[in-house]
Amino acid sequence: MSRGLGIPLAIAASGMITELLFATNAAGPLRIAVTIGFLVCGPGLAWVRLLRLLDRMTEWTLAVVASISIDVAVATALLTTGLWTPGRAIGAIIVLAIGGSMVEVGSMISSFSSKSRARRPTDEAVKRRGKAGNDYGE
Amino acid sequence: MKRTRMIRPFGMSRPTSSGFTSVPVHLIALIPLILAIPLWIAALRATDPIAMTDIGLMSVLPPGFYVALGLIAAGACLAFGRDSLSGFVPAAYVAAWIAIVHATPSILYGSLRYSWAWKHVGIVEYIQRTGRIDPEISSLPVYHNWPGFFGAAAVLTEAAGLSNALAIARWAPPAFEICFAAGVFLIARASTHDRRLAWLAVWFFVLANWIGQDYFSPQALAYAIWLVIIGICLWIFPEKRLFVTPVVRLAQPWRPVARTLTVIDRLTHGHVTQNGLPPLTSTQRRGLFAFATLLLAVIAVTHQLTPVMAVLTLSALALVRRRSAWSLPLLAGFFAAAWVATGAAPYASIALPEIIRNLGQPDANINANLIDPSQFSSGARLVSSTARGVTALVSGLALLGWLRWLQHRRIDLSLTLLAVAPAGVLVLNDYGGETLFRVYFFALPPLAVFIAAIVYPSIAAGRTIWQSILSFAISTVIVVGSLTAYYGHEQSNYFPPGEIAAANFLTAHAESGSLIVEGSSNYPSRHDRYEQFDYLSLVAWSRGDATAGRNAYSLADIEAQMASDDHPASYLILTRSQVAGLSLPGAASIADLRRQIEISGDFTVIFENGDATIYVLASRTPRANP
Repeated sequence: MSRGLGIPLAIAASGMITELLFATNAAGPLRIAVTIGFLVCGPGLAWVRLLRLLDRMTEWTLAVVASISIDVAVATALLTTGLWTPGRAIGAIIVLAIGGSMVEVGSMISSFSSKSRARRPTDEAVKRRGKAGNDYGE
Repeated sequence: MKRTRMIRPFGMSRPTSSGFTSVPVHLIALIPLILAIPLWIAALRATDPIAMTDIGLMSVLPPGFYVALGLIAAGACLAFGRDSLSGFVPAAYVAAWIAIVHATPSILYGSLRYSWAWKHVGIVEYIQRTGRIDPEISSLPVYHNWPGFFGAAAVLTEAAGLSNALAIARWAPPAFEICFAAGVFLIARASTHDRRLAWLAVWFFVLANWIGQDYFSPQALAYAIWLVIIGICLWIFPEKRLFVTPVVRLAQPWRPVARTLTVIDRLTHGHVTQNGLPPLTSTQRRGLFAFATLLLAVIAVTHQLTPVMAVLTLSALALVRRRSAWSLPLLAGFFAAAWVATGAAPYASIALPEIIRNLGQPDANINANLIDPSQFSSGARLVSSTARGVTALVSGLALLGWLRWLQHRRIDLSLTLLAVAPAGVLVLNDYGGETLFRVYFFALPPLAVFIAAIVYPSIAAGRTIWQSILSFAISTVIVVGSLTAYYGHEQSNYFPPGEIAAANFLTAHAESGSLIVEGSSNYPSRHDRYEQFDYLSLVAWSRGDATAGRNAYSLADIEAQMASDDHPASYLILTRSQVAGLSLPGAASIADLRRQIEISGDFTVIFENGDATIYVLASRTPRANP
């Protein structure tokens, strides 16, 4: 399974677009498609991808169920505590989705940095090269 | 020399076909589907739902509809047997079947079907309007005590900028069916590495699922989540050997017993490593366990029955798994109990005595589910008999598949226990007369795998066209019954535009606190400001026993109720769909009431069209709205 930055960034972007469409009260089928698509797929996909499952169909099945479960959990928590507003519910879900995406991005960056450090020559290797002669006259 | 072809299990890359490129092969495999779509579209254009009879939607669907289904079934059965095709092809056939069968009513009717879906829209509207739930509300309190589904639906509705959830609810059946299919595929893959068996199991599940619990409801969502929980349990907790060597050694003095234990152990253990899902690292296993824990908590706040089913089925699976597997049913029970004690406490305090009364009475609970067909029209009797028949047929086919596996020296303990465990709920409650349907619904995934085993009992068996022909034959036999049962009640589930207009007129003009007297609750009602009205249903339970299935009120009773000063205004609404769902005596009692109303002269008609009439008492004609 490819593990590039594309999907986590797309999840984060669609979350922000959802918030923008909601905040501006935009009308039309585009809002319906984007917001429902995000709420049904985005939050769960952001966290399920952290499992690094090898099978795409299984990943998406878990992602959709996880997304709807996150929607249920957030909505129930707000309703039972008397804090429900649509804005709070949507905002909390978006934060969770972006949070999951950022965890994945962070782990990718951390993994890339480790690999870069592994490839960079150590100080000892540089000293050994220096004893053999170098271009700096040291 | 006979040419043999190796079956490609899950996890093996698809080989490139010699002599052909991959794309044309896939396009050829999709030809039946491509031909079916225009036939379906033409069939939709030629169908008038208002002409439905008492056998439901099948009475008005043209032959082209069935030809389209036949093409889909033929193409699917051929595709399932060719493991050289990518998973896209069988998935496309499953999705096409779901679209044709489950999206047809949504497209044809142009509105939301089924009265309970309208009531659920009303709960979502309540949350949108008030921003809260009221667990102590007197009307439909159960939904305020298990608000998970409605809260999530309210989020989707508000995010999409919709004034109510009608547009989302209308497309719930095909959306949920796709979720169900994906969940069953997860379970099937956890039980076999034969991709043909897994896809065929999904196919038979989709065909045999006539129950109709796919409408906009908490049960549909909870069921989809339950399927994934079961799949995860099968995936992360491997099955253990039933009778390990020390146990067999202990039984040595009793040779027949020891021999029997050895045979059973070989039959149940031989397939244990057959898992078509990718192997897991310990981190992935822990992550999936955490995920399953979240899902168990979510179903506890979403639905009353599904957590019970989760406890029963997860416990059954834990019996043949290592001890750590018991954590899932324990968590399921804990979350359910915790929610009943806290969030759902107001409802539980009222409902618990009745639940305790019904405990341990499976006979009474079963009888509450079986209606008396003699009370209904010939078409309704046919539908009822067909539903019972297809349930028995599916169970019989599943038993045949189980025996076919035994013939191939395999007993799948997990699936066997999963098929039997849901019956445990019969001991608990009649669930408003629906327990039997729910038992079948929750047992269907493993039953579907067993039916698929008739065709593909092992990865080495079944490599000829005859397997596809057998799949098609079994599909035809199931579909004839399941389609009749699924579409059988559509005459009462369909609400024509005139009836919706009447319901909207009522909610727009009735002031808060009004009394609404209705023939039955089977019409588009309670979808808008539902808690502001009092409802009086003249027929208590349309499909119940003889007493509850008739109008329980005389004209004088109705006039007294409507004349009372307890309500600022009162209305009587009688619609076509209210009567369509009644028994013969029930329909006759409402027709009789209508005649009495017309003769009495005590009522004024304030709204009427071909589908509905709204009356008020002549002595209490309501004020005109400003």
